[in-house]
Amino acid sequence: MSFLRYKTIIEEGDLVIAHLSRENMTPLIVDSRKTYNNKFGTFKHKDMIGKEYGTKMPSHNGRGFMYLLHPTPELWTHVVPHRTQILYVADISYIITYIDLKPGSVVLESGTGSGSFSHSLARTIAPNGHLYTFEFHEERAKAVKKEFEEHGLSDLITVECRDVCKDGFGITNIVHAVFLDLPAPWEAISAAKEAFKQNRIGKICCFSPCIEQVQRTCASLNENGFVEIKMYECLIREHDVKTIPVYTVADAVNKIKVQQDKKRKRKDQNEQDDDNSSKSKQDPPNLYVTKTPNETKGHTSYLTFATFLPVLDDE
Amino acid sequence: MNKHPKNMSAVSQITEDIIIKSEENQEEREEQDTSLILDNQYIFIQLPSGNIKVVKLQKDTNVSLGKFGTFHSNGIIGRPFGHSYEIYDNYQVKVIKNVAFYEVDETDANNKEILDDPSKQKLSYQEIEKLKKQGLEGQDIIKKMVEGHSAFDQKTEYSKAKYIKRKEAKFSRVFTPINPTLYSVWEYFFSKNPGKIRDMRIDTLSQILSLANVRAYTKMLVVDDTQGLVITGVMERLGGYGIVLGIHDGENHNYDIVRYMNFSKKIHDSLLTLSWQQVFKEEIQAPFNYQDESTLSEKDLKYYLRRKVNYERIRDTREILWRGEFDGLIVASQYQPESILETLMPYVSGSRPIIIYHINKEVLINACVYMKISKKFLNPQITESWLRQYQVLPGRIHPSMSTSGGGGYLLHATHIVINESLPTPIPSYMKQKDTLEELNKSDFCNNNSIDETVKIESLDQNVTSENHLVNSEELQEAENKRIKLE
Ligand SMILES: C[S@@+](CC[C@H](N)C(=O)[O-])C[C@H]1O[C@@H](n2cnc3c(N)ncnc32)[C@H](O)[C@@H]1O
Repeated sequence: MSFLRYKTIIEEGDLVIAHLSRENMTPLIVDSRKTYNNKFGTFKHKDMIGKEYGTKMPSHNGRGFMYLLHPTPELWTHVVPHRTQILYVADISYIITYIDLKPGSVVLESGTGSGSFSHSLARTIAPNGHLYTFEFHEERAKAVKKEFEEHGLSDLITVECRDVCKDGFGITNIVHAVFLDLPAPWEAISAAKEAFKQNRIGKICCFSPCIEQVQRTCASLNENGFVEIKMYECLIREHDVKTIPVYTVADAVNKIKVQQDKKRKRKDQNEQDDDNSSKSKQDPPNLYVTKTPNETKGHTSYLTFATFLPVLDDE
Repeated sequence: MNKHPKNMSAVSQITEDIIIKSEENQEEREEQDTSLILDNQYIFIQLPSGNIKVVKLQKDTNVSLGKFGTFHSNGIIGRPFGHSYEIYDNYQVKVIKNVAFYEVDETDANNKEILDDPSKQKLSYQEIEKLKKQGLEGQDIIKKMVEGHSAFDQKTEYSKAKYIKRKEAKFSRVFTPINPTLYSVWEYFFSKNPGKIRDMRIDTLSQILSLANVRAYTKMLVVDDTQGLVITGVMERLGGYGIVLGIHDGENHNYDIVRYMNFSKKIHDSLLTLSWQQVFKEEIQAPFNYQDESTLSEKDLKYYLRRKVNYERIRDTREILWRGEFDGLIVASQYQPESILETLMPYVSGSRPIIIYHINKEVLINACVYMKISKKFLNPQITESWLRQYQVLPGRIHPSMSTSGGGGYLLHATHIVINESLPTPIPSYMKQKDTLEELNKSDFCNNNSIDETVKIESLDQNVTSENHLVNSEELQEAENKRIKLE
């Protein structure tokens, strides 16, 4: 139940995200017979048992350390075995708010892909909501199903292997929200319409990287009676904090003088040192600044949202 | 709109029967779908002008939409949210199918504005007013105006849409009830008074809720000076399963925004609050003078019970805070983040998220340096969300011409447990005399597996694997240098 409930102390069988650095994290299921080896050393699983989540644990041979982190959907996006493109925190967060998910929501997703977004969806709709997720790639469907079981999510998630563009979703009048991350979402929109709980408002989000897909999606949403068609893009920019020295023009002059002094001394090597030619060097004050990375994510996908209107009695 | 108590705890100030009534309502609401328009709840109403009005809906009353007319509340109570309604006859409403507000590019300056030429409109102002008086519905007036427009057919579909939209804003009596969701509540306050919610944009708020891993069965600590916007989001994501403890400015909280969500009693009960003063153990709570309730007059009893409930609430909430083991800390406050971390971090469990919001990045830079030096925080990071809306008219997709310039910054990190009994690799800068003393005591010197070379290597782990980051050691060194200089 570690994705749905926090624990304090690590026990046998628990999922731990081993954090060696920001780029180097691994999910481990604690098995006291096992040892985790990496370039920073040897970490015995049994050393983790009884420790608090969040502990900085040294390797057995003392060469390095790792942090024992509690799994969260956000960490999972960093360590999930990539079988497809996945969603990241900016899109995940915005979609979940926009399509109005909360505990108890019933939501439909396709394709499941690597199950990155499914973890976030399950987190938010727990404990009494439900996620129906559809993936037509058999291996992927199997793999996520196993993961959901290992992560204690299977009561919340129903995975079905199915081509939703050809065969629809096979569910009607159930869901409050729909999320489509498919190459041709417009082929699934009329089926999605039936899946919505018919007597209430609902929200749909289609996630597509290309503007041409957006265009076809909007046309289909419009044809199928969805309203409030809106499209957004959401990205995250990092601001790395560091310190820089702040030199002044006087420092620039001084630097030249120091160089000139050196030259002169070399020339007059035999002459006596002249102490008052340049001031002693002083460290400049530091300034805390931020810098954006030289390269960062410039595009993930366009988020097309629309509203499903409740069906009127006379329709 | 009804005047509401200033805060949730002031509920006890209202007479008892009202309490009972409102509790009944909230209890009922738990069973009810939030997608229905209900009596005694807040709703937003989108007017033809695009403006949004907030109304506390009461059955058997008339709701005035100013120049757009007045309708009787019973006409919409019990119906699902989503549809638009048109006012007709005397305060009656009927559903309008699919009245989407056309998305039209307003900045297309090249468009010849011939449609606005009044000479092309055969209907005079007086005639239109007469039509309105006759009780003709807005939609029909607009239809008549289109018919009366000699040049209408010459225009492109796009311009027609623009024309209709403009006329609709003027003459239609169509309104749309909007259900309060985190998004719509945010939208209302952000457009009305962004300063009230510290300029926090919805994408940023959404990231706070994700990064803080807010969900059922968590116990969150929240410092909220956004009039309760952040608390509102946390409460909704807890869904009544868990606790959110809000630390507030002043003596009483003003989480004003919470009430617009029409939360059930169960969700309301998940909110606990303390003032900054009540956080500190050394601020002794004035003892309560318990009395024999049977000796009090009815009036005194009411007053006595209110004070008693309040006393016990504060006492118990302080205990809950001091017991600690919170599952995360969210800060969106006017106060210095470092001082908040100093005060509240002892109550947060290991491996739990810390999220600090501020509209001014500089405030977070200092807090980030503080985090990097403290070593209780893993990967402190400042991020900024970037949101862009697009116009999606067929063949005319492009980003909106004007947009919000920024939605604020987040500083986030994971809380690390410093376990004193564990040998921790020693970074090289710590080999200075003041810290060495510290290292010499306790278990450290007993742990001979950690020798000089190990210390340096383990520092390397940070340097090599996080080389694009400024790691905490580097900063620590810089800081040490700075201190030496001063
Ligand atoms: C980009 S991935 C989804 C990633 C997912 N959102 C995540 O965060 O992990 C798209 C998935 O849709 C699946 N898919 C494509 N067409 C489909 C269809 N017609 N029916 C069901 N699944 C489909 C693909 O196999 C692929 O795994």
